[in-house]
Amino acid sequence: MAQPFTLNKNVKPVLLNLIPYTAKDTILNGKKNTTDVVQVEDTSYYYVKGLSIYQPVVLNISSTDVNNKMIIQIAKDNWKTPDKIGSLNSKGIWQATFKTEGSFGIQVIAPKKTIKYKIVVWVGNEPKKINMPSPFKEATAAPSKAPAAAKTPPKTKTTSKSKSKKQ
Amino acid sequence: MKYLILHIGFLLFCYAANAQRAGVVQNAAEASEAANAIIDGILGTVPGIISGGNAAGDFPPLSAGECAPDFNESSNSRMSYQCAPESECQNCFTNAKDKMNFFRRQLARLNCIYQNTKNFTTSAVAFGDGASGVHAMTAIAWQRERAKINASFQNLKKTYDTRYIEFIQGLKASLMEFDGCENRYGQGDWYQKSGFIYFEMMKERYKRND
Repeated sequence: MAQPFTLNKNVKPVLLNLIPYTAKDTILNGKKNTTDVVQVEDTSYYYVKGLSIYQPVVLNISSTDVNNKMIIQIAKDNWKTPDKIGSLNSKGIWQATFKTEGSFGIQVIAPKKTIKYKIVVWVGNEPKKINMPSPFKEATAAPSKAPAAAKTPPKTKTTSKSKSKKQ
Repeated sequence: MKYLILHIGFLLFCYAANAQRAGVVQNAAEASEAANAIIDGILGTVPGIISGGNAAGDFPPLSAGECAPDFNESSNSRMSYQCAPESECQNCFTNAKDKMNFFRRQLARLNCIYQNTKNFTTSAVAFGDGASGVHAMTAIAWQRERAKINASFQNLKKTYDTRYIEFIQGLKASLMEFDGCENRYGQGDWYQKSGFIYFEMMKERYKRND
């Protein structure tokens, strides 16, 4: 189940392999895929897998041909019910940011034969800590600087000392 | 001679066909630096990605119906503890809290994996059932496919239950560590008074009920 569902055996999506990405700013380290495509079919299918819901995903598709009217569809469960649909802007770029668990599929529909474009996928590393609401009530602070055990000296020691004094 | 002309003609045809063939070139090594520069540029256009600490928190889920971790809990199950800021007890409590948060995060993710797969399975089965009535052969092939999808989901249920026990036990252990901190620095019986209610709530929240 690593790609959107289909009964069409002719749909054979290409896996976009994620490889390590080291950024200038270490906070942006993660994984990447850059793919250059020359498409001659009506529709091309790709998919990305191995994602965690805690990782940010940036998907960028661009073409030097600004008149390229290709349609981009991103699907999670089924190719026929895309979750995002878009086309290139006047600069020849389409971009989406999202998070998802597992995998997602990319479908590129070409209006004319032979289109060239670049797919860039960036996936951030899963942060070590994530912001989550505290399960504690607010007013919980009370002064307690030393361990409870250290506040009162152990009784056994006092007894032995007093005994030794008596002796 | 005729054969030779035909042969050359065939080679030229193949060459032309190749020129038109779709090409997919991934992660070309020679363009690695250029590719990184492109990605740097793209990430520079994403607002808040650095200030957000690279966390996916502000990014929307891809699918509208997709499960995203929800850590909000009812105020009734919130716990209390005693430790003044910047006091010696903080170390003890911070370690226990970090462990607790780790298991909260794992449980939330496990739940999302399960919910998303359940959605996928339901949607795939409904789609297949609807599409398979067209041709008898398709219907037979679909029944086989359907059985595979359902078997895969049944496997996930088993995996969920195993991981659920593992994570819930981890959560309990971290709460007991917290209890130890309370015994040492605050009041005794913390788990019985406060931790227990939270633990029971979490146990119910992530228990598979289908």
